[in-house]
Amino acid sequence: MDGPPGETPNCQQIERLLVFFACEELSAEERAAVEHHVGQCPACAASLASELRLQQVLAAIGPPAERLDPHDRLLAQCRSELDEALDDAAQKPVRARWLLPLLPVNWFVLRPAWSAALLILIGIALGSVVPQWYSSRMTQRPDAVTMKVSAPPRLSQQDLETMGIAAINWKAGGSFGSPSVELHLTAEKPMELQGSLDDMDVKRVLTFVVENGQRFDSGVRLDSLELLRRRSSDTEVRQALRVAARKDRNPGVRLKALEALRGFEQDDAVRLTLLDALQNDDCPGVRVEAINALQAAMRAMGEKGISPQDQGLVNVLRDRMLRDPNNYIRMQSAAAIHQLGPRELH
Amino acid sequence: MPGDQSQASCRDHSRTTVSAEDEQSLIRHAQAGDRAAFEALVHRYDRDVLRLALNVLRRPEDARDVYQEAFLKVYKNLHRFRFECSFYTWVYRIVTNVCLDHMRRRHSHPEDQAPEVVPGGEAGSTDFFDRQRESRVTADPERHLMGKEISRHIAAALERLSPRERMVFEMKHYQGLKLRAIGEVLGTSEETVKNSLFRATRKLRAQLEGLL
Repeated sequence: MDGPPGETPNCQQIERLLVFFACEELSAEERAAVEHHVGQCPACAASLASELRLQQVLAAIGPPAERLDPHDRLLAQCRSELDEALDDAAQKPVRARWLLPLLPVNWFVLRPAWSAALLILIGIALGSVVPQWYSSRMTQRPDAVTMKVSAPPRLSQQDLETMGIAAINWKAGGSFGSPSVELHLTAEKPMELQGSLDDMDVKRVLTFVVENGQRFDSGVRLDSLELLRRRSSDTEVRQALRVAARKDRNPGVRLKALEALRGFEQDDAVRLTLLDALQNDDCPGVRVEAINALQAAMRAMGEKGISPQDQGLVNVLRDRMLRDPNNYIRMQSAAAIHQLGPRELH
Repeated sequence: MPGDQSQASCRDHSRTTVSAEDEQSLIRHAQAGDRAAFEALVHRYDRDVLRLALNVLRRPEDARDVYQEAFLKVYKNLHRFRFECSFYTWVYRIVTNVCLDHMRRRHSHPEDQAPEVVPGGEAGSTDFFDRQRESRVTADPERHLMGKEISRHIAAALERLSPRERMVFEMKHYQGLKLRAIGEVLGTSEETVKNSLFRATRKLRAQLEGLL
């Protein structure tokens, strides 16, 4: 603190400390000095109130990133672009050394019209020849199997444990509005599964992917969650979503899993997952989704009254209200406790 | 608040003890040229990095440029990382420098820039208050308008801050970093960071005079 030690700070010194008081960056001694001064000085008390209101407004508005990229689409694009840039960075030295002198770059630069015509011809030729060649090659492969999925399930547990996923594709508007899904599996024997989300093998593969996130890359896990969220009413699917929400190493996946559980907060197991995420997840975005979902659940519970086992909810909310590093979560936890009313707090 | 601090440090500590060895091993593999290890490292930090860039620059295309430039720098300079500070601090130092360069370029060539995405602008649908579920039947249009008004004022006030003030403000309020950690990342003292935050907050309050 500025000024000689032991001397009572004046309003000018306190004014500077108020900013750091509001954002909890003062030592215990400075904090006590501010509290003492504000208790006696109405002008500084008004300044502090204004400072705290600013903090509340900032927390309520939230970071711009939440609005600019709420579903991590930009993140996915950035990752893809970085992958490409890294490919280029890795290949450039080799290409520069061996290939660059052989490329007809100068020829293209000097004859732009001919170059454009040639490139168009090459494009047309490739566009018409390559797909035919590829499909004929795929149908000739003895080890490639296309399997229409139908009950009983054809994949064994061992198949699941050894498989990899090359691609997940789906088209909207299959039977009963369920998307038609294609899973390209890589295992000892490459396999292609086709079916709807109601097909047992499709569901088993997708739930296995989200429950065993460490074995699959995050793009595959996100695609699986995107499909499974349409079947959140299924208990087995919810179980898989709960595992992903708590165990997946990627916060984007955890967040998407929690989003997929929206609407099922009345399920005790889902509520426990939300509480666990709110209390223990490192990622503030995941905790924000958890507190928002819990508030939705509490609004629904409010009509029936809180049950005795929900004391755990109150404890977690109180803990987050006091200790969460994120202002928005602290405020929403306080609002939730307020929503519960004083009788539930004992 | 001491309780808060201990909680925060406990959280950090548990995170580091669980993953420190793992991370160190990833860094060593990446330094040896293992691309998968490098990608795993990127995926640990890139969401926060993109969020920081979006918060500071408020334009997705600029944030994307920063992301790309920063991680390419990390990739090219990874062999220089000597474990003298945490990898988080090292990465953030690179990212904040790239962000600051972008902001300085923007300040010196404002005519070359696309308009900033102002949350709470005419689009309206991206406003915070629009995204909240209405819990009561009686919505409060006055509060809604006030929220938009404040969002606009805050965005305008942040535009007037210097790049460093803006960076400190964003890292404190939206990334939730302690001032000491911000100083480490920016390569400056805690006192300098405090001065920046104090000036930024004072300017912001002046801009919001009458609204708070």
